[in-house]
Amino acid sequence: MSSKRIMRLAGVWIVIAIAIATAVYVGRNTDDESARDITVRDAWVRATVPEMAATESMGGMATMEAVDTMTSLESDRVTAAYMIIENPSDDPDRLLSASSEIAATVEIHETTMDGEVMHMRPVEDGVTVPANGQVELKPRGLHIMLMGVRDSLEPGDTVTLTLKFESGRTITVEAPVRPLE
Amino acid sequence: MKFLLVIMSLMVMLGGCSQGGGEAQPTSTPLPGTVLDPPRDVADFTLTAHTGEPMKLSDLRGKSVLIFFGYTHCPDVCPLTLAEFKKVKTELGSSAGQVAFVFISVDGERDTPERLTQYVTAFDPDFIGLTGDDSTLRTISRDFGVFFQRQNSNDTNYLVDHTASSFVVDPDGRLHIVYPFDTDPAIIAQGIRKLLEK
Repeated sequence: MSSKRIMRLAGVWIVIAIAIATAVYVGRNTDDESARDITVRDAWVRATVPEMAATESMGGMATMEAVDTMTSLESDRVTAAYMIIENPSDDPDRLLSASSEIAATVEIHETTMDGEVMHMRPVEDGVTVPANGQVELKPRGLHIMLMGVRDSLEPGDTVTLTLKFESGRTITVEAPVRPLE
Repeated sequence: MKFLLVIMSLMVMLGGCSQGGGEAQPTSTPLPGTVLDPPRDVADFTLTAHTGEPMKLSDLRGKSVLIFFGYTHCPDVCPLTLAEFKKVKTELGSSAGQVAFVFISVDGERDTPERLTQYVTAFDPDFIGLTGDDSTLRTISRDFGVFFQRQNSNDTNYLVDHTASSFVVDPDGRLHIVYPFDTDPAIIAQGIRKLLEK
């Protein structure tokens, strides 16, 4: 084999190697495109118990004192957020935590029924979002519990939630407030 | 008649299914509730109403009483159930005046009458909230077969496990029907209406 021929063959191989590398790289890039990323849809937060209801039903005595009492009572408002998390990628992911500026404490909880007894527990290991699948946070099941909600929430309001995933992804969700019922 | 019954139960089943497609979990055929035959006598009790006044169960004699045990810091199951009580009330229409809707707190420590006022009246101005000390609640829960237990109580954000059934006390003050959690409000309304007709 002449040295010229060896050089030509090596050249062909290099071209092939570059082509494969490029294909792999481009393929990776497609994976990383937002279309294959985790997305959140149908997020919502239940309204907090309206505070005016109490003042009105106490004979409408909305004195400053009464309003002050209400405010202190409502310093520990609680409510829950729900949503559907979709994972179109080939790798499972896990929702590790959620946070929001509107609440002092935000935890992922799950309601389960043991016969007729309702249990609610923080989900310590996070929520798995299966590859090419979804997980639904919904009433009577998984939810994000908001504790120490700073202001009352009513329909028309929007709550910003930040979700952190095991993959390192952080997603910001705007969740509209739905009525208490 | 038999044919009608089949159609009716099919409709009930379909209703359950379509509900399952929404935010509810897929439900099987809804249960009609457990009718206690004979109805069970329950001891009279006194708790503090959301108005701050003491209230006895016997104060409600002559009415059917729909009762749920829960707590106001519960963000999921309790508001869902009270929202369904509201639907029961709507379903009952003009008969609703003969029914008392009662939320008994299993968290007397945090559920002050003021807090209960906000909570129950947010669902309906006629709803009654009752709260009391732990020992009174223990006695009541024994009578009704209700379980409740506080979790990680050293945390101020503690959670309370509790029975999520709804109970109907008849106008004579006896425990008459127990509905499992998530029973269709239309079914509860139907059961209460039957008691009122008796």
